[in-house]
Amino acid sequence: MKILVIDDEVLITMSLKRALEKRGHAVEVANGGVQGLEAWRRIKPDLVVLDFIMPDMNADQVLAEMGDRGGTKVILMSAYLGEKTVEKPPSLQIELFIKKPFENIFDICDLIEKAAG
Amino acid sequence: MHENVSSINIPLSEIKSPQFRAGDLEIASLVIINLPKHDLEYVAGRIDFNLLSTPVVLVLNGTDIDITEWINLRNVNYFIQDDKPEVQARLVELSKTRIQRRTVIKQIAEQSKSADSVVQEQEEQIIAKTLDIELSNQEQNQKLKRERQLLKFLKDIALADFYDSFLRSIKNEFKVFHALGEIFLVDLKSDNDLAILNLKVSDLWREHKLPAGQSNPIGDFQGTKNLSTFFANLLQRPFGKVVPMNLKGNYFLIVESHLSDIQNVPFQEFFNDRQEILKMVFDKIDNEEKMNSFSFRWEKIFDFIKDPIAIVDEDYNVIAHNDAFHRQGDLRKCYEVFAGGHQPCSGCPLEQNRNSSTMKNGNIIVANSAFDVMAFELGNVEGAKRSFVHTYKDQTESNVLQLEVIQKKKMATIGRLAGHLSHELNNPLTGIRSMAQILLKEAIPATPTHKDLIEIESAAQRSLSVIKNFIEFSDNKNTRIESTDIHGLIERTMPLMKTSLRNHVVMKNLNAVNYTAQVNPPLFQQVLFNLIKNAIQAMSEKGRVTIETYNPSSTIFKISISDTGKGIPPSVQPLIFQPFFTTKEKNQGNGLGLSIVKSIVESFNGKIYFTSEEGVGTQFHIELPLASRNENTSH
Repeated sequence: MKILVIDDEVLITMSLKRALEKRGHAVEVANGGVQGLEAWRRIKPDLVVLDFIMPDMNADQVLAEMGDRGGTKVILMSAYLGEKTVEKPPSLQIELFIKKPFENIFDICDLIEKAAG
Repeated sequence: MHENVSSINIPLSEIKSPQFRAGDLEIASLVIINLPKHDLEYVAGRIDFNLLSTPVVLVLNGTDIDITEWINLRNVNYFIQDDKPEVQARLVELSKTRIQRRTVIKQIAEQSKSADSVVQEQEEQIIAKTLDIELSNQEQNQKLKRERQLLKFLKDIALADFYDSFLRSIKNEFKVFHALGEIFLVDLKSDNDLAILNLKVSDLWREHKLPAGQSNPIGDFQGTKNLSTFFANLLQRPFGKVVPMNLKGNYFLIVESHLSDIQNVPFQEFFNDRQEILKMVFDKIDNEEKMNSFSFRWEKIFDFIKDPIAIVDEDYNVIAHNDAFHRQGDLRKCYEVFAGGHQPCSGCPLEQNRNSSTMKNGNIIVANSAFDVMAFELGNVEGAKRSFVHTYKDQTESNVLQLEVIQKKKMATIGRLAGHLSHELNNPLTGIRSMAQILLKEAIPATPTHKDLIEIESAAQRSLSVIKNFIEFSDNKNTRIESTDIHGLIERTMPLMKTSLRNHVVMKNLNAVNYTAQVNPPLFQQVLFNLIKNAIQAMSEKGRVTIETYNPSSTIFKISISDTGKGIPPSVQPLIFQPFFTTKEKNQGNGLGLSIVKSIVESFNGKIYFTSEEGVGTQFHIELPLASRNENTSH
């Protein structure tokens, strides 16, 4: 599976890339919205793992730019919205909503694989 | 005293003359009649010697008849038979002496006669006077009696302290007139409000009456013409003659009279006599009544005011007060009555105000309440003690509210800060932790790298949990009271204070078996946080903070937080739960304050108390009711 991880925190993109590659996925990372959109257009990934809040663009803006997403599935991550937004917002039409901070990176990988089918 | 004696020698011819009048002789002091004796009878016919007051000397010539008897019968002083001149001269002398004597006697007689009349006159006067005095005595007695009666009435009616006793006295006094009817008071308040005040049995009744279409006869009360009809209509019964008396303003005394015209005269006098007294006494009663209702109303108003109010003199003696200040009547010093103290309250403005003309306000603390004391001076009398009105405004509630508002603002700020922090720190910490977890999988177990990675991972985890606790702590939106694991809450709170506790020994003896209580977790965490922080601040040197829990009974969870600090001085122990009370330096006292801690604990139906010994330390105890077993297990 071709996965694009977009998060402004380098350590998070690094960790996810490393953990998911171990599982045999092709992982590309981007550390911001603009860079992420560029990568998305370029590599046409099966799945985008997207941080909700980033300095240059927020997830909803990124998703808007992605339009109909061309068959790409989306998983959102957020540390900010807290417990109340654990439910995935239906309007965003995403596969999964992951709460940060992670307890265990490998559990997160399991969740991602499961959601992406 | 020799009088001038004039003598008249009358010749017989003159006596014989028709013009002769015996009365003419009176002008002389002595009459000498010289006549022949045969003419004697004739002369006696002309002159009645007995009528003549003037002494007469008869000189008879050549007589031989005895005329002694004749002369004796008449007022003839001397008669001389012989007209020898020397005899005559001697006779005249004698006569003169005699006449003088007689004049003197006559004068004396007259004098005594006039003296008599004077005496008589005086006697008459005395009798008249005595009569006068007797008459006026009677009058005086009557007057005195009247005065006495009036005085008695005055004494009697002066005791009247209200309309009822006033009327009773009048009725009693007027009893002597049997033909009197009702006696009552009328209050002509206005054109359409007339009240009758009368005694029924022994109570005073006030009835408002004024049948429709009947206007007040205020103007008519002077003439009695229409009043009988008026009262007959008003009271729906025949009414006798009306004797009204305007007592004061719109108050009239009405006496119903069936007296005849003749009986009416003494009654009217009796009535008029008492008019002044009645007016005077009624005025007194009416004024007292007004004063009473006025001051009664004021007292009611003062008692109605929830804030304590007292009038206090410069020596702290309570002169007057309302119910809120004190209920019992025994007035002493204000600090004894109000604060139960033995000396003026600290913060009372009186000490300052008694020596000043400008009034200052103050704040005092009584029991667990803080009062603003507002003072103003009563107009002082020269030479008398100054006195002040003190109004005590309980600020406890508003102080607590104010503190809570401040606290909420503080927590909202911390909440916002926590939000930012969590975002800024959670991301890198998540990255660190995740990376450590990945690297741990790759590292060879038991190598130094593996150990280091474990440390990195756990440090990141700790950091994340501190942030999580911090967010929880500052969650001021969560006000839900829920069954909470207090031990877990203690465990989550301790890491937040790790730095502060670094220099002290921390002992945790969480021995409670049941530790689930109904609290709002963030608020209770704040309570724990503050008590631990207070414990730390009480210890200037390295000390020990002990956190103990246990169940003193099957329904109670108890937590005690102890320090080995300096202890709370006994003098401030009663004050420490009061809002804004602090023993800390200005910039140190940034905690909730124990007043809020107390109000939070009490809001969970818990209680908080402390024991403290100077130089040994302080223990704060919180007791919370345990959540029911169902909730305990469901949690």
